[in-house]
Amino acid sequence: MTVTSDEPVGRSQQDRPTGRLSAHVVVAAGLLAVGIALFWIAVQAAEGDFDPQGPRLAPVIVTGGWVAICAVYLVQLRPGRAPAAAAAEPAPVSDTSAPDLDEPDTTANTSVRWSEPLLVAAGLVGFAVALEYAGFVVSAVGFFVWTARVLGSRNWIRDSVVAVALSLVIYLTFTRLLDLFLPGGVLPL
Amino acid sequence: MTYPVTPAGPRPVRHRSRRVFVAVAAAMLLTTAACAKDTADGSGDGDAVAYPTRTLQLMAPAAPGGGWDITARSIQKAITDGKLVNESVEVHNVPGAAGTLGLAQLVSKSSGDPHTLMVTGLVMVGGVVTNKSPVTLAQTTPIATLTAEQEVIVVPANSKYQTLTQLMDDAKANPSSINWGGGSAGGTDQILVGLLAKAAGADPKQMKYVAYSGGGESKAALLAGDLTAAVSGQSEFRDLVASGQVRALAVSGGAGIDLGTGTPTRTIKQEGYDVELMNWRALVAPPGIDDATRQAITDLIDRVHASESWKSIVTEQGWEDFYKSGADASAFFTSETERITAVLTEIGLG
Amino acid sequence: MNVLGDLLSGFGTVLSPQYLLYAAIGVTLGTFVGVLPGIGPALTIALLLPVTFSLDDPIGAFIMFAGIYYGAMYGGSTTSILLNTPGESASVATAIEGHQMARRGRAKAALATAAIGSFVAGTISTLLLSVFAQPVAKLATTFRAADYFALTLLAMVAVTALVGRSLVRGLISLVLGLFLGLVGIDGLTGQPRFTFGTMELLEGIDVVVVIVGLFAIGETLHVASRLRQLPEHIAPLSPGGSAGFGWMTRDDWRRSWRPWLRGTAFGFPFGALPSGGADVPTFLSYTYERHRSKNKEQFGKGAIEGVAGPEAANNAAFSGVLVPMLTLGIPTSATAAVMLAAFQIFNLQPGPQLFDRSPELVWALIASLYVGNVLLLALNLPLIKLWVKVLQIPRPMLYAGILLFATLGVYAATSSVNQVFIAYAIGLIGWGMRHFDFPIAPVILGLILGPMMELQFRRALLVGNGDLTIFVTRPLTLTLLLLTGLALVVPYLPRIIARIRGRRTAPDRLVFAEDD
Repeated sequence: MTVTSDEPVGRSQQDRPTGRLSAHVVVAAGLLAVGIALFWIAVQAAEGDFDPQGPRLAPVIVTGGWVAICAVYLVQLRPGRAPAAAAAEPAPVSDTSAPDLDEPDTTANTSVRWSEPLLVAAGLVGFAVALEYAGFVVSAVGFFVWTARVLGSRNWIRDSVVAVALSLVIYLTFTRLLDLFLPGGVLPL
Repeated sequence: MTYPVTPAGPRPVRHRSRRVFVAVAAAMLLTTAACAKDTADGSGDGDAVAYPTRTLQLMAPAAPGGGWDITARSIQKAITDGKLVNESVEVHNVPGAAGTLGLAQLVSKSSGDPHTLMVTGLVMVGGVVTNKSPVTLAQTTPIATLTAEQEVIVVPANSKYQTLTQLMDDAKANPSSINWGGGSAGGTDQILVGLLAKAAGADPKQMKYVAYSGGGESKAALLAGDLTAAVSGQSEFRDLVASGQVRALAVSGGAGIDLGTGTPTRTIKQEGYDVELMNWRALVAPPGIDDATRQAITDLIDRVHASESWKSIVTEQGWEDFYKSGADASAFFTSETERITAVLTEIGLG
Repeated sequence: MNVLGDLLSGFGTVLSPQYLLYAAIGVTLGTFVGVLPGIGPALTIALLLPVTFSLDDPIGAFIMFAGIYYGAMYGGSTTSILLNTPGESASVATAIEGHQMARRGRAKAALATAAIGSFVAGTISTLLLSVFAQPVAKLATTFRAADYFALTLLAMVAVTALVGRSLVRGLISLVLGLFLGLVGIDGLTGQPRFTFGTMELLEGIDVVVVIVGLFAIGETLHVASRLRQLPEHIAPLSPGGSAGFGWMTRDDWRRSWRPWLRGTAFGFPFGALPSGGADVPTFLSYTYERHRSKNKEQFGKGAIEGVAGPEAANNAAFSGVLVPMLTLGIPTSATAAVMLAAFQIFNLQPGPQLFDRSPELVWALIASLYVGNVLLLALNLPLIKLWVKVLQIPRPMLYAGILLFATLGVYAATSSVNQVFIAYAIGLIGWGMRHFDFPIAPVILGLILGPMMELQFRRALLVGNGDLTIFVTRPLTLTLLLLTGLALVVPYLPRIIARIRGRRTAPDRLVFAEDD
């Protein structure tokens, strides 16, 4: 393989939608910002004590490394980077190209939806909040039906039946057989 | 009661959560007071409060299998075996941060609920100090101390130290020459090293204490040669002492005990240092319990303590009986908290 | 031979109908709880331990415990393979290739190589435990803090030389793991680090919570974000087995047996170290298999070696863990700590005298390990057919169930809603990492190895009064450090040589966790 034969590959990589590249830049910048904040916290907490036997050096090293690596990452993502260099240390946008063509769900630049994960996450938060008030069974049934619905199930009667059966079995097994604590909540179980 | 306040100034967040907590606690207090009144009226049994009236929750603020967990399960067993109450008893574990997570949960969530009791002990007193916990043991309602275990100081069999005095003389003259090892920072083992240094006239802060998680790791380090001396609960090292791989220099209780060598190991006091430390375990109720209910809980635990089942568990586990209830327990908590806080502050962990 | 006689009498105890029943109950309970997605072996054992307390007879309790342990381990591997939801660090390496196999319709082969590999490794390592427990324990206790530091450094370098196809993003993942490992009370001084004034973070972030978050929850959110592109079912089922041993083809057997043996060789000694554990050897085994394999191009796409090796290492490590635990009373893994507690509940103190004082118990325990292994194989090979059906559950219900069980596991083990929220937050990070193509496994590596490395480094310095020469004065430490240097250079040698020759090679496509 020669250098020239590599070049078109590099070009095609750069032809990928810039939307994803810019998203990567945002992520890298965000990571860098978080890293700097944590580094600052670590240095503040050290109060000048960088004794290798003490507890303050490791946080400084780790967060310092975080900042350094994120900076390198950000530099790598800059537009117009030489393709050869990109191949030697593949930049993220190039990665999904070659090895994963047979992977159905790593073709990352096709439509990614945000609403479903956010709705699932909302369901999780609701579940955790309701757990200790409404009790395990009630909150689990609500959560299961909600999540199945968000993930595309349209058969909510089946989902409800499964949810009720599942939560009851779990609750009774855990509390009666295994003697583990789960909040009973509003149901007189 | 005047418990020492945690040294760190509370942060704004804590202020807020504390205020919320106070409001919640107040609300709960009112409800429980009302409930307690109801049951008292219903029972018609003179002054005594009917207790328990529903499932009793025993919280072990540690993972399953630890000393607190075993204590909680033993109480459960004693109650069930002796049919001391009609209601059922459940144990649940809230592990973390020397029990201070469980403590925080007891004080905030279970306030005013006499049906949630928590196992506690010396380790939690230390944990409150080192973790600068906003919630302290003083906020709970003391019920009783239950059991205690002696600590032991050991050196490898080939160590040049034959007596505790030799060890402490060197520790005083040249603190960096002694590598002390034991359980987690601020725990019973380090507290003992600190108290011992103080009694020997050395600076507790100068003691070189290497913390290990659990007893096992410090055993390995002692055998491998990283440590000069290790400190731990006596049951932990009993086997190695009996087999002659390590030598016990002293135990920390009021009377010497035989660790399997045939002769009782001398106490620290007998060795000439005025230190006595027991790793004790106790039971507390949440805050906001009225005196009558507190008495009812104490009565139940009195019966647990008197039960055959409890006595046999205590013997099996090699625990020492360390029962104090009511005002004795409260006074003991106060004095231990003062002593432990002082020594941890001197070590530099407060 | 004395050992043989003792062992036979151990079998004599265990092979009674009552104890066999206990073992069978244990294996079944362990498998069925362990197989719940998001509830891995560590949680399973924590959840089921009180069940063994309820038995009054110590031998029965240990037999049941051994059964629960093996069942939980295997149940955990099953969900790692089928659903990419490992429940503890030791199954992360299995999930990497195992899940890829499942996605390509080879779930049965993956489950079979895991089960048989576990059996082989479990049996060999139990044999090693029976015969060599005492000398191995003696050797293991010569390790000092400086040696442990060198060893963790070696492990770290050995596995992270292959951190991913993008070194930079692999390192970012690693640093994230290292950072998560810093959160909580410092083990040596009790000082809080990165707890942001909260109580909940004092205890640190439990590796199980991280794994449940990154895998079970992160994976589900990831799936939710690309629902429209996915086929209706998770993975096609493989065509039914042809012969009696139809789970694996002849080729699968040929490619599996050496990794099984090598995995055992990694697992047992690492487990036996008083600061060892089961997770490091699984990663080492994975890395080694990937490096040595003739089928390198298959790695990341479901190479059976990558399942066989780590699974064997995982199981062998357990018998290794029992060496310091039974002979010295030193628990070196979370599971061993739980077992030690169980000993204490029956007022038995593991240690040098245990073998002399309660021989019938020790040998019954060891015999029950053999029995547990056999029962596990007997129960699980037939169940493979059932487990793979899990993949036929409609996706919405399956993933709703995964989230439900993940939440249940974290809550039941910690009794804390806050821990559940921590797991969720880490799940969001896991989703982001999948979305932006950051490898997940290095996070786990950083989280496990980072704290060990720091702690042992500082302990060594503390013990040595701050003198850095402590790391070069002991032959063992020095050897390990030199090996580390070697491990650092070796993976780059071909490239360096090629570059010297003036040729440009294709970038090294050694990938860790291709698309987890």
